Amino acid sequence: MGQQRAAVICDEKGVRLLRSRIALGEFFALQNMISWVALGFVLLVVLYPLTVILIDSFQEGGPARVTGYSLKAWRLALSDRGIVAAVWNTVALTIARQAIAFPVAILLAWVLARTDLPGARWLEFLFWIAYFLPTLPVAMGWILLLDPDHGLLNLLAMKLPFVKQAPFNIYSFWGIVWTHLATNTIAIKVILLTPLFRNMDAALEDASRVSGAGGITTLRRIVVPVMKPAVLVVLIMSIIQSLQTFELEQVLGFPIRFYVFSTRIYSLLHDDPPMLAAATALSTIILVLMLPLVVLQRRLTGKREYAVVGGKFRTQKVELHRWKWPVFLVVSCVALTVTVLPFSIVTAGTFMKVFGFFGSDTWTLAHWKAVIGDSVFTSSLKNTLLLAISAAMGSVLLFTLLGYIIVRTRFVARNILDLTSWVPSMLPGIILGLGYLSLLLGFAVLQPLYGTMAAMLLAVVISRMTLGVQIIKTNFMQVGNELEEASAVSGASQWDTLRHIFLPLVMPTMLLVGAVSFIAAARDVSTVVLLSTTGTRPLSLLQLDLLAQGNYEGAAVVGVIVVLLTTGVALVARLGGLRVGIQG
Amino acid sequence: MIRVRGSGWLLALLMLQLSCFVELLNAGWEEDWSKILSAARKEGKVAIAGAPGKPYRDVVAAFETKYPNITLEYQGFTPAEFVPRFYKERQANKFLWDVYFNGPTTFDVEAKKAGDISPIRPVFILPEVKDEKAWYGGFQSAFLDKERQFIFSFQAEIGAQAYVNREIVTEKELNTVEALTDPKWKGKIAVYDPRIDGAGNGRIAVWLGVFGEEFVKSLLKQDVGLTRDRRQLVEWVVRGKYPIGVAVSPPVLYQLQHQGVGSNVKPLGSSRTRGAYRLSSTNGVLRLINKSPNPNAAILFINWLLSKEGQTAWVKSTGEASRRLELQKLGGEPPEAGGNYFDIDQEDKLWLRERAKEVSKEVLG
Repeated sequence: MGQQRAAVICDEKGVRLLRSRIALGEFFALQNMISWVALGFVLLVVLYPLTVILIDSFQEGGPARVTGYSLKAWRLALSDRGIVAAVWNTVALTIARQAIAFPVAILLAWVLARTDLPGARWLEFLFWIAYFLPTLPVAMGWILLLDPDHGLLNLLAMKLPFVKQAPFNIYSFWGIVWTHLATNTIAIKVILLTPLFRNMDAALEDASRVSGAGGITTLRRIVVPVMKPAVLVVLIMSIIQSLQTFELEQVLGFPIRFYVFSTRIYSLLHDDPPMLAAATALSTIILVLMLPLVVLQRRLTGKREYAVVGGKFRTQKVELHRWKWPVFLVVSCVALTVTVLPFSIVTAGTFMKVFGFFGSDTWTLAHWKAVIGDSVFTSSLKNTLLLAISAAMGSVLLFTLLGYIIVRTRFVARNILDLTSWVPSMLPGIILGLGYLSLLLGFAVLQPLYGTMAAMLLAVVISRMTLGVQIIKTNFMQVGNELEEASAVSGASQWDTLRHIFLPLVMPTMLLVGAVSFIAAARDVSTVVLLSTTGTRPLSLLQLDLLAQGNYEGAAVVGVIVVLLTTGVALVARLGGLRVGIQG
Repeated sequence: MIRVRGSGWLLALLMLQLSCFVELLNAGWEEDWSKILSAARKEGKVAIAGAPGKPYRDVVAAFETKYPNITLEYQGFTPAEFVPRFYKERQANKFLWDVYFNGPTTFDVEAKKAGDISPIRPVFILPEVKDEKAWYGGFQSAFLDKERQFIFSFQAEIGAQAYVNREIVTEKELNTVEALTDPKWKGKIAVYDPRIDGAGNGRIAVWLGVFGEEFVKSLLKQDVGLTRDRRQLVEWVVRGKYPIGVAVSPPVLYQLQHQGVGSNVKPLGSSRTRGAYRLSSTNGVLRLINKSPNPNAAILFINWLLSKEGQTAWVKSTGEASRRLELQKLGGEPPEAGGNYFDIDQEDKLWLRERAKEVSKEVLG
């Protein structure tokens, strides 16, 4: 009887095992199919536009008529007299920015994520707001403070008896570096690194401390090496983004003839007729120069020894003791300098008759009334909300899927997927926009999308693919396999494991991706201007209209509205997401 | 005496014949107009690509008020955005635009050669639009293309080439353009970057045509401040960072002056001073797109925009002067009789713009 029961139990076990194996096989087959579909989609939306762009760079005869193919545009781009200086300036600026911003951001992220700093969550959120602020009005605010002739800080400093000349000059190499640091160079790194630091197991720091190491030594010898893949990805993304930055160099660099790669590309695009082929050639050079960095990053992070969230994961924080309040003061000062100060200046600017000109009759509500009263404001606001919310949701879904395939599966082409995801960040927006134009117009099946919100959505999401996929990917790499294995051993299904184990661990990062995609979509001009129609025009094009008129005040009003929208959405998302995600 | 009397009769007869001919030309326009109106209503919409900015959106919105059954789809672009989009669409057999207005560019020449724009003159239907005498300089001046058929400039604003902050630089010190090359103005002049298409290039091209290359080179060697931001240029002049501004945007300056800032910034020289002013089409240059999706609505829009009503809306909204002589007092800075202007926007002057870019690149790098 007992033997019979044992045999039945054995049979049941065997059937369950068989069933689970079949289910597993089906799951992997499904996973594989999804991975191939994802790869096909990414290759289509990234490589097709890239191929068209490359072919365009060899075209002769201008945009109206292609008369042949040659290397003329490449020769033109490379024979540009200022190109060597522009390359050197770009490199110098990138090194200076990253050399300062990176250590500062790592320190800030660690303090915010790993210590008992009071109000750390809110201070971190201030850096989010800093990233949301519109670049150009913020730059105007800094000019108002640091212009060598009329800058308020300079005028104040020169009232001191020992100051003979203006100590600050925003129109200089270091002026440009400072404005970058104070707008979003530090902020983006802090918002990317903080959630990653938060995921680190406290046991590692404990072990360091037990061994007698101090806080900074622990940071230098333990935290940074353990965080190497995350730090590396953020560094490479920052370098690539440094090569693309444009607005500040245009406003602050031009007066001192300080040209960079991106301003050279702008010159070619705004020539008459637009020198698209030459601009594309220059952009391609950037792309080629960046590829080794991407491959290097892939090699260094390809190994899976960086999991910091494991089965024995603890989030205990480092106690700052007597340093708590001094550190709080320093972090608050940095956060306020990159957030409250510029936001106050921009907001004040929207209420000034002429931004930066003080007099007896300085203040007005006219700019707000004009913007809100504009006949296209309501429809533009609706379109922006629709586009930005859809982009946030679409980005989270797509980038999570891609990140999962790259990190958590053995999909044969995952390296190709990873490399391809870097391409969109290496091309200037308008060049990429032209690529999407070709994509949407080149395929009969996609043509119905042309002129719709879906087309803009596709372009906006893909243009931010690098940032989104790399953030998600880095986060996934931090989460060890043992949690999923433990879940499976406990009898949980794949879905349960995903929902109850994996998702809470990656939720804060997914929210970050959503928020960054939201602001990127709300602000995007260069991609949407080529794809929008009267019915789909967003707020960013209203802002473009105002800038075209030289109306900085009105443009700042739109900027403030977008910041408020994004902050509201990000706040709700954070409050909701933090409940689901890891509590620090 | 008899001969004189005879000549008078002949002249009167000729005038009568001419007026009959004009009547004949105009005869039947109502019928044509009615047909166009009816066909345009059937089409139901018109797609316009134009310059970016609320004033331009407001102008075309006035059309919708006049013709509520026709939806007007308007999008503002810079040429750098419109031209590639336009050609990418056409290469994919997407013909989406009816009319394009913006500043004159090489697009006009290329599009004309490629057959992407149609002659606009034959679609002038309303007598007030067809009447050549209604336009400053007649059609010879208003059409910018060599054929006088395709590119119609309906705006004739005169633009000062340079503005001076008179709080810092008095008229006694500087009152001619030629004096700008004086070494004492080194480091005092700011220019909108003339190496790319735009206001700065137009100004330098005019001076290239009026004063020659040596003048332009000497001027650009004056350690000029460069910018690609119209507002920044105006602010520099207003604040006195650079008290002399070349290619300052009058609308941006007026916007600030309207708010009580920069009232001492004045044009350099008068409209009679050689090389001080140019005749400017700004964004008031009209093209009829070939293979347009709504050809009748396009004709309706063109005739409306060029009519007294349309041009009144243009002047009131943009603040820039119409080429229609009857509206010259309405707003903007229209050309004066006897003024010394240089029309750089004509197709036969395009080479000067190109040369201006080359010279600027030579000097400025």
